[in-house]
Amino acid sequence: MASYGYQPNPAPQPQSSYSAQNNLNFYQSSYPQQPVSGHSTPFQAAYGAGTQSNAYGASGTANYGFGAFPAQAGASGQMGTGQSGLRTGWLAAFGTEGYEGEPPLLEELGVNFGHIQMKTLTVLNPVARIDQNIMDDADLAGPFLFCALFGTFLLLSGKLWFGYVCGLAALGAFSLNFIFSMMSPPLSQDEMNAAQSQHYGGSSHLSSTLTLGRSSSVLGYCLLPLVFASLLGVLLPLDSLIGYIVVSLAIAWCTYSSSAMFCVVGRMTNMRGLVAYPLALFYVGFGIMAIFSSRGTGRIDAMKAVT
Amino acid sequence: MPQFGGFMNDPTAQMGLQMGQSAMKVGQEYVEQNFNRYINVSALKHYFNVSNRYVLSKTLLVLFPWRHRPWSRSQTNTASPSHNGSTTTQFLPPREDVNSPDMYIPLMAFITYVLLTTLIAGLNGKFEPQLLGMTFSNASVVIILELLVLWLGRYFLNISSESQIYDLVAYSGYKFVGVIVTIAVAAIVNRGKGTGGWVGWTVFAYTFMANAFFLVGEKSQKYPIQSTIARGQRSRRTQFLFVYSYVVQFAFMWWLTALNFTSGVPVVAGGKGIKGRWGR
Repeated sequence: MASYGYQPNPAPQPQSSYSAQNNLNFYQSSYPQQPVSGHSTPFQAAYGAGTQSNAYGASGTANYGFGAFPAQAGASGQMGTGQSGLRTGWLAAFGTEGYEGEPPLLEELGVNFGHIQMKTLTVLNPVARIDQNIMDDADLAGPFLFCALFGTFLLLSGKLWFGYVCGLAALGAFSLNFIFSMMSPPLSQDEMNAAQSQHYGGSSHLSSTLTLGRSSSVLGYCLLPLVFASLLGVLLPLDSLIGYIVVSLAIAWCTYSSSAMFCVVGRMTNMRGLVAYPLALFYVGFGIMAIFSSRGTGRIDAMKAVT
Repeated sequence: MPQFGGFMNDPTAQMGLQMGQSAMKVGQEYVEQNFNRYINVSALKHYFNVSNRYVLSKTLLVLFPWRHRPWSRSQTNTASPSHNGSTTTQFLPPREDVNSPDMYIPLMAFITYVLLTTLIAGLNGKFEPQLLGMTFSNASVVIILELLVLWLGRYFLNISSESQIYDLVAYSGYKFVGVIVTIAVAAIVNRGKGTGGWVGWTVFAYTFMANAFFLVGEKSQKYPIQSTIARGQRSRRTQFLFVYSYVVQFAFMWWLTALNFTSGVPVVAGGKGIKGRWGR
């Protein structure tokens, strides 16, 4: 699972049974070779089958991609120039090829644009039906992008509030994950065992199907309507009545889509209102920052000047 | 099969990797066990096991506790899995018993209070993101002080500890509901000029009385005043209960509502602001 960063791969067999039966390999590969032995990336599928040393070789390559091992490929001393598969010559030096069989960079980093697009469209479409496994590959690339966009639009409105956006997002993610873990029904025992075997030394689940990664991912994706509102705030002052209406609509949209996702992923479908209220509070925090970051109609500055 | 460097296939390196993996695993388990020791996750889950109907009725109960009759929490006799044959009585979760304390409402009310004060300050033109943090810290101090008072009272009066610390935390959070109502009504009526004026004080007095009545009702169940206890101690307990519910809560609620931001810094009415102390 490339989305978890550097993670030493244990023996692939337990992974494959759990992921195959629970449709965790959400990534429907368009590559000709289907994933084998539980590896989700096509590279690992092509090269990862076989003996244990090959698996380490494959994961070792992925680890090179993450920079987890500082040693370069030539550490063992057996690599000469060109023996590892690198092409030599000045043409190859300016090219983008790497080692033979190296996975593409985005796949190595776990950035899957198809998934990002799918999740974004799910958020934007209020009547979409949400698959329960949509958040199984919880990535944070989309959320980071949206938070950065939000901060950038606030900057374009004149306020350098990246730090506050980041702090609010982090604090909100932690506390919302905690609240929803508490509110969701407890895991059954075999779900717990399966989760433990999959997450090697993984996070403490707090006895729920929600993890911090998944919660942050959902929250980040559902921030998109507020990003649009802040974009609008660059153009027209949000401190007016129309600004309040736009931001309120954006908050309602965010809350609607994120509560739908949380209810599906956390299996709390009969408590949607209770799930929606903390989410509304979280997005109201962002909305406050969006409204009061704009240049405004001059009303705020006038009030500041009075006192 | 591409060879990516001999040192990963080296048996020594593999052994080192195995040791690293098992060390990380042991570390994770250690952290999880100690985490579960400090924060009992399953007990906390009991407090968040709420339903829509419960939240609505409990919020109305906090604001209008006058006619609520049975204050006792329901108990069930469940067969304990560990002992053979004996039954343990457990309190019903909030989902099934409106008298049971929960942590959802207090937590939501706390955060709503922080956001509401920041919003009103922003509508007055005094928004800065630090306000979120300052209000949060202020309200946290209130909660911690209240827990201290409760804990000391429990210690000095030697009250049997049937009520856990989580119940106390839950009860201490219910006053935020009243505080929110006070601030909201005052903001609407006063156009955000602070919680002064007769409307603000009236609503404050009402919500304070409602909260105190609610607490007395709940607490008299929590610390059952039984006839077997000596008369002196019983009266002391009653005194503590009333002093706590009325006087202490009055002080805290006043502190929470009196934070007005009309002068640009959180200032308790008539006091020195933070700016004055730090000179920034």
